[in-house]
Amino acid sequence: MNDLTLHNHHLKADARTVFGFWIYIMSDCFLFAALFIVYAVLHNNTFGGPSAKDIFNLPFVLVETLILLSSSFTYGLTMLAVHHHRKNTALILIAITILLGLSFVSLEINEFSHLVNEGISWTRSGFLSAFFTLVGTHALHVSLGLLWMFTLMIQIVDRGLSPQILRKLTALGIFWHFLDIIWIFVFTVVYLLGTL
Amino acid sequence: MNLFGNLTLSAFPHDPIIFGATILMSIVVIAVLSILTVKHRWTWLWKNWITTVDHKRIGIMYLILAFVMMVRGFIDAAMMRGQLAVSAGSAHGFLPPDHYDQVFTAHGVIMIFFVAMPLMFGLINLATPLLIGSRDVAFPFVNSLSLWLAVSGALLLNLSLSIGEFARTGWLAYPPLSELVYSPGVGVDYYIWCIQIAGVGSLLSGINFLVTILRMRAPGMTLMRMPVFVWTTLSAMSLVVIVFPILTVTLALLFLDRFYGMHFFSADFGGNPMMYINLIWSWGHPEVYILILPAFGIFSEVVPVFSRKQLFGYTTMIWATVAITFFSFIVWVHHFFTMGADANVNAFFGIATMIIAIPTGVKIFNWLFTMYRGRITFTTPMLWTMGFISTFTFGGMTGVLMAIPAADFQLHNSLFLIAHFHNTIIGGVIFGYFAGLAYWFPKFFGFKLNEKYGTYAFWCWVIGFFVAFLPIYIVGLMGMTRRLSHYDITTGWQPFLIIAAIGVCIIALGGVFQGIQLYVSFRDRKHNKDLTGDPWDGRTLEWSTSSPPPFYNFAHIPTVHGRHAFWDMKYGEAHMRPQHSSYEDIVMPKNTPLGFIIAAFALVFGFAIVWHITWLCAVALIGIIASVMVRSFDQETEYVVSAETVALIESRRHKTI
Amino acid sequence: MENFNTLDTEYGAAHGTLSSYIVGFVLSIILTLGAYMIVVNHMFSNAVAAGVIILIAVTQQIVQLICFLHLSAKSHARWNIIAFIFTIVIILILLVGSLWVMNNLTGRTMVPMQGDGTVNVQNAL
Repeated sequence: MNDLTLHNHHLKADARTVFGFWIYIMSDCFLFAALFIVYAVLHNNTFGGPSAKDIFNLPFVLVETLILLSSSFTYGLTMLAVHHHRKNTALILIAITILLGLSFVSLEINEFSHLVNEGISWTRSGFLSAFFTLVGTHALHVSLGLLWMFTLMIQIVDRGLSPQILRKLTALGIFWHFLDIIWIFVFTVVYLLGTL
Repeated sequence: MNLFGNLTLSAFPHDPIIFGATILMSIVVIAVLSILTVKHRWTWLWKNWITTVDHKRIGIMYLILAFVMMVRGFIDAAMMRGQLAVSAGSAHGFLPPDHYDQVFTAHGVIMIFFVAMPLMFGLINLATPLLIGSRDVAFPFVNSLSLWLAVSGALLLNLSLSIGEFARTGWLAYPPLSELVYSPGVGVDYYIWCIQIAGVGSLLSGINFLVTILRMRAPGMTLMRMPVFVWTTLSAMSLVVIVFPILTVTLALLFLDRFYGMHFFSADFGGNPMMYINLIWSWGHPEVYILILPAFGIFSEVVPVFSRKQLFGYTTMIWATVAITFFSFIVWVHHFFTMGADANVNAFFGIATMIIAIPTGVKIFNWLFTMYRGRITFTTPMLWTMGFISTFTFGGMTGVLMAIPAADFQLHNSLFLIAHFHNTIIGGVIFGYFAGLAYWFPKFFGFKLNEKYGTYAFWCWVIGFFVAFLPIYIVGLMGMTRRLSHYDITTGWQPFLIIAAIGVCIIALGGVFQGIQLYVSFRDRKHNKDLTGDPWDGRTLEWSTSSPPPFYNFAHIPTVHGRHAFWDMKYGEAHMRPQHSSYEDIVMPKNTPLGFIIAAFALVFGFAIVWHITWLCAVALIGIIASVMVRSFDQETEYVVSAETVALIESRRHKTI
Repeated sequence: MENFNTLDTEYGAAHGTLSSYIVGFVLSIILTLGAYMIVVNHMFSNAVAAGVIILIAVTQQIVQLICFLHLSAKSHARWNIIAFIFTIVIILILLVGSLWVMNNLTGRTMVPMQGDGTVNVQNAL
């Protein structure tokens, strides 16, 4: 088999993978849509417990939002570096993205543990169950994305920038930007509308 | 920390029926294992089947899973009909109520998730890549993972028979009954996790086939040249991708309620049980179209071939499919008209439901007009198709009847409803997949199925179906509700329920004939060999390759010039015939055990979480993540089949013709 | 060295340029802060503010789709767009339908509750 046919074969296979990943993201949209529906239905069911207005700390959440947004931006810069075959720049940018992602997750853990310590946990009311689950599911996605990013970082160090890595980074990029888009809606629907 | 979580010796069976079933299952498992060991087949099993990524073998394994589970689901059905035939008045039958409740729950879950879905995925796996002229699916490894996740789900469900109990809640586990307060046992947890595990597999399959169909068609096969089966598969798979995440969320929330004391669906603390029903049906209604659409596709392949005419109204068939796909999203409320929404809501969803009957009717007329003035040969695939058209139309009409909210207030949760959906699922889905099996069987096994026993089986199924379910319609109208295990003798239901039980026996006889048919066909396989690869004078690409197809499907990827790709090659103008003098190297995916391993960890995870064995959950989760990482680091996932090997395989085939 | 540019055309979701990322980032920050300010400073009545911030969220989503995910009407990205639009349409159907049905059910069947969670039987009857 000559190199050109093999190359074309891989090119098509890689494109399929990225497209398949896009379809997966679409299905993840439905997962979050279902959680948003649940939140929308239950957000007033406080059962005498605290309501959204009582528990949210908007400046804190704004910082979270800006951190996640920046990580989305630095991931985009990573992809630019990869396209220009700048391996070291790419590694530094990925490391920054991971750090930003980690701080986002730890801020969220901080927020959750703060609430639970005050006795405001998911067992208190339907509203709190929905809140913890929606925001927690997003945080779980971000954590899995970080694990994945870390794996790819090792692969870049190990093998350099190959087309396979580009394919994986492209897929992860879709995932990461998508999580930021989901967060826009979490920020708006849960936090901003909640404090209105 | 307790090593075994909540698992104690009391979880093992005491009831004589369950104990007998456990012994029987163990004997079968031990027998299979011993045969494998005695015949030295373990390496063969591992190399050719467990680690395979070949869509044809994966399809065959899906079918085996479906038939094994069908036996269990059918035994459940027979037990229920037997119970109801005798348990009137002072007689209480042989099933205690709490066991009866598990039986009807298991029957529903098994038949939908572990019979109908694997049958569908099996046939889609077998046929789709060949119909579009492709060598494999888009993600062969994911395909193997999907299969093994479905198997894990089925195993977990079967474990519940021997260890602990299954849910007593009905197949959709409505809260608040399924909440921890009212169902404190492990039954609902088994229910949740067997569906979650299999559901992830279904979602992955949906993505896989969507990409396969959109990206891997043979050159020249535009969307409007795709065989109808490929179109209906495309629609069904988009439904899978859309609604299975909703099912996952719904069951996950129920799990959080039970496990972490949350309040999504609880009756107090601000939960809302009605939201569960709203969510589960926004999955559940599209789900029935996921099952029926590929069956519609099969009929659209079978009817033209055996009527020796091209399909009447291809374009309207496609648009009807697309319309059904879209409308399936705006009818879900018709499953709970009686919950208390006002007339506007019910009227909207009632009308939407009636509208969906229009594209379905278009399809029925298209098949009828294809048959009209055709030269029909009454082979078994055609018999199943004609049985479908009459039975399904009947079931569809009773469905439109219940789409009227006012009528539904009378019929809701009555046996009339039960008869209706069995009418569409047996008459539509099951008959459809049987038609597909008989139609494609020679392609995958290289010999035809025996027609005589196939015909016997068909008549037993059709007659048995009507004998079993017409009485159920009647007792439904007489006011009998579903899920009763005992009734008063003065209701006058008993004669009808005895007739229904006889119907089940006739269906069972059909099953026996199908077993005999398989055996006889296998015994006489030398006589009914399909050497040409084209036993029915087919129109689509799968018939252009040998039977069974080589592992690479096509030595040369065909070029498509019209809707009837293979027909054109055979009878079209000479220039359309492919002329090839030499072969080329082919890149194929390598086998991998990781799909099997990940699914095995998933099964362990499911079992551990059902019994609250924390450490085992952690081990299984780490195992899953580690296996995924191993796959991510693997660079050698493909290999090259040399042109010489291809030439050798192809020349061997040409010699036998 | 492999030519990554051929990959871009095949992928549909191609990589952007530095300027597209910067534009997306800056616009997103402005929109986020804008929505935040509207809420914190009570600039509008609640109903108007809700509408405005949802509009801002949708705008920001479109900005990120174009600038970060490079979704465009180019021919090779056609199926990505079709899949996305289909997704949005179905989500809207499910969202609007579910909220319509659930609010309707709640309004008609749920017993009104007082703040402390006890059932007010007088109101219910």
